[in-house]
Parts: sequence; C-alpha cells; structure tokens
Amino acid sequence: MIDVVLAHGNEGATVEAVIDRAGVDEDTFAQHFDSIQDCILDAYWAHTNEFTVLVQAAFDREAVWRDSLRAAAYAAARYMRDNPRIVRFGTLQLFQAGPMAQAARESHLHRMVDLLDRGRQELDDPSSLSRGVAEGIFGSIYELVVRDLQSGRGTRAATDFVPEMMYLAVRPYLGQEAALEELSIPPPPEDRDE
Amino acid sequence: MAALPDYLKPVPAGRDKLPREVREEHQRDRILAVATEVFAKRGYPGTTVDHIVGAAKIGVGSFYSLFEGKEDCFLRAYERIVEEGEERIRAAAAPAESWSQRVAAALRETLAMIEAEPLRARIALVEIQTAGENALSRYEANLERVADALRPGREQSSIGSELPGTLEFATAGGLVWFLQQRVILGEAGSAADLFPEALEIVVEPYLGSAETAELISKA
Repeated sequence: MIDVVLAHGNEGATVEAVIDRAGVDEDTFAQHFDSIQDCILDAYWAHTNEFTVLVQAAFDREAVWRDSLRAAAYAAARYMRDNPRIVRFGTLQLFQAGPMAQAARESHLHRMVDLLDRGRQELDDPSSLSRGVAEGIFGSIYELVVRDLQSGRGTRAATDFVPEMMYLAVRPYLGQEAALEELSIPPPPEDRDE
Repeated sequence: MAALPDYLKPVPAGRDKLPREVREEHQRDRILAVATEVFAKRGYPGTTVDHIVGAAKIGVGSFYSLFEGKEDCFLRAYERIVEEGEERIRAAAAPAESWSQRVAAALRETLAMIEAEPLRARIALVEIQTAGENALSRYEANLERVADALRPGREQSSIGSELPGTLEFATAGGLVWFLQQRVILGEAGSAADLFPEALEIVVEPYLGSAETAELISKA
C-alpha cells in the first residue's frame, strides 16, 4: 500500500494497483479491506502503532520529564531516520488522502503533543502556560521534518535536530539555562531504543 | 471641420467597451472566488473541474481558456489569498514601533482574517498541503518568508546570540501548525481567544515568559 501511494500518489492508489503490487487477487483484498481508503488507514495505523509504542516505551523508561522527552525524541528521530518511506507516507501523502485520513493523523499527532504538554507539570503554576505552547513546539518539529522531506534531504538528519528541538521544548517549562544545556547533551546509545 | 479630441468622442457601447484582458481578469477573479469556496468545502483531492464550472455557471471551455487545469486554478486562488493577506498584515503592522509590537499587530490581523473568512483560511492553512508537490513548495516558501520576518526578534532579545539557527523556521512552522489545527478542529472562531496563545508561541522564545505576558496584556 505504502509503495503504491509513494509511487503513484493518492489518486493512483487503486485496488488494482495494490493487488498487483502485493501479488494477491481481488477476493483476498476484499476479505481484509472494505475499500482502498480502509487499506490506506490500516497501513497508517499499523506503522503509527509501531512508532507510538517505541516512543512511549522510551519516554516511560526515564523518571524525569526532561530526560523522558529526550529519550522519546531520539527514539522518534531514529525511527524516522531508518524508515523514510513510512515517514513520507504518514506526513505528506496521508494529509492528501482525504478527511478520514486527516482525522486519523491528527488524533495520532496529538498524542505526541501530550508528551510535550506534560512539561507544564514542571512549572510552579501549570496553568501559567497554555497547551498551545506544546502544540507550537510540536508543529515546529513537524514542519522541520516535512521541510527536509520536501527538499530531498529525507530523514537522514533527523537525529541531528534533536538537541535544537529539545532546546525549544524545554525552554518554556524549565528556562533558558536548562534549554541551553540540551544543545550539548550527547545522544543516548542506540540499543536503548529497543 | 476640426476633429473632436479623444476625450469628447463617444465611448463605443457593447462588448468592445472593455479590453479583452480586462474582461478575462474579471472573469478569472469571479471564478477564483467560487473555486475558493468549492476547494475549501470539498478539499483539493475531492474537487474536480466539473465542480468548479458547475458552481461558477460557466462552460468547461471557458474554464480552460483561463486556467491550465485544477492545480493552476487552486494555486492562483492560494496566491491571491496570500497576497491580499500580506497586504493587510503589512498595513496593520506598519504603525508599530518595535518588532514585538509588529508581530502582535500582524497576529491580530491574521487571526481576524481567519475568523472572518474561514474558507480562505482553510485554503491557505490546510488545503495547500493536500494539493501536491508544487503546492507544498509554495507553502514551504511562504513559511520561509514568515521565518525571515521573525529574525529581527533576535535583536530585541537579550539572548539573541544563543538562539539556535533553526528557531525562526521552527517558530513559523509551529505557529502555522497551531492555526491549522484550529481550522481543522473547527476552533478558529474567536480571534480574541486565540491571540494570547498564538503570540506566546511566537515571541516567548525571544522575550521569555515575563516580557511575553506583559506584551499580551498590553497588545
């Protein structure tokens, strides 16, 4: 499914193209999916769940929010670096796939915003900042990923962005000094993502 | 007998009154206004040329005499929205004395436009990302222009030299994503309600929480 969408765009993602690529017949397709839209969403959710489990596990391994966020950020960045096709499908292509796909994407992305928004609990007065701050931070990260995809740089440099992203994420909740520290904290070993 | 000067000659009546280019421009403007509504309500992927010509009550031939196709029509509608929006934002921000005041004025005007014209907001913030590679390139180019407008914030910031190089693009992206979410979720109704959060997203990285709160209270 992902290969078909990336090769032919959403308009070219027909049942015929998918069964041809997968080497199955139409009856087999119909046993699993009600429509091509159903298949697109199924492909999206399968990879989104994989990504979310990985990122949430990394987040939960640490006791302090800032460390949790950094661990989750590197887990996410490494997944993106290693799975550029899936990232392209889940960002650029899925947004073009209609309202149902857009709604699915938005509900997933807001789970990522939730991880950032937990930073408000670090404040003396959590209500002094709005959830909008976390949305803005997440949007910043998302647009940087999309810009690299659009420019042809792909997701190879995703891990390089993490220190600057952590600066942006930490600063509203923990202040400038903590944010500056993030720019020089080295990445965790890669086997910790497993 | 002396000839009448041109300005005293009678204006010819009928279709020749306006030059063809002017008539085409008027027709294009009218279709773009209709197409904007169709694209916003159906989404770019769900819109066909037939939808547009039906809504505009024109023939397909007339459409193709003015546009190369669906994508061309959409991109022209988008560019029109961006140009007119920029003009209003520039006018709103011009009287401001400082960078942060200019940003506040620009944001107020942007949010007012989103509230007053939700269909145009949907084109500029949401559908532009669903219309293919050319559209995405234009969207990214406009994000870069927003980023350029934010860069002078470093001069007003006490920590300008410490700020990461990607900050402006990241902030522009964050703001647009925030506004896009409001449009997608149908929460873009009150410009006044959104203003504090939007301003916080943009200026807090430069000014810090205290100065940002003061700016919000005065803006």
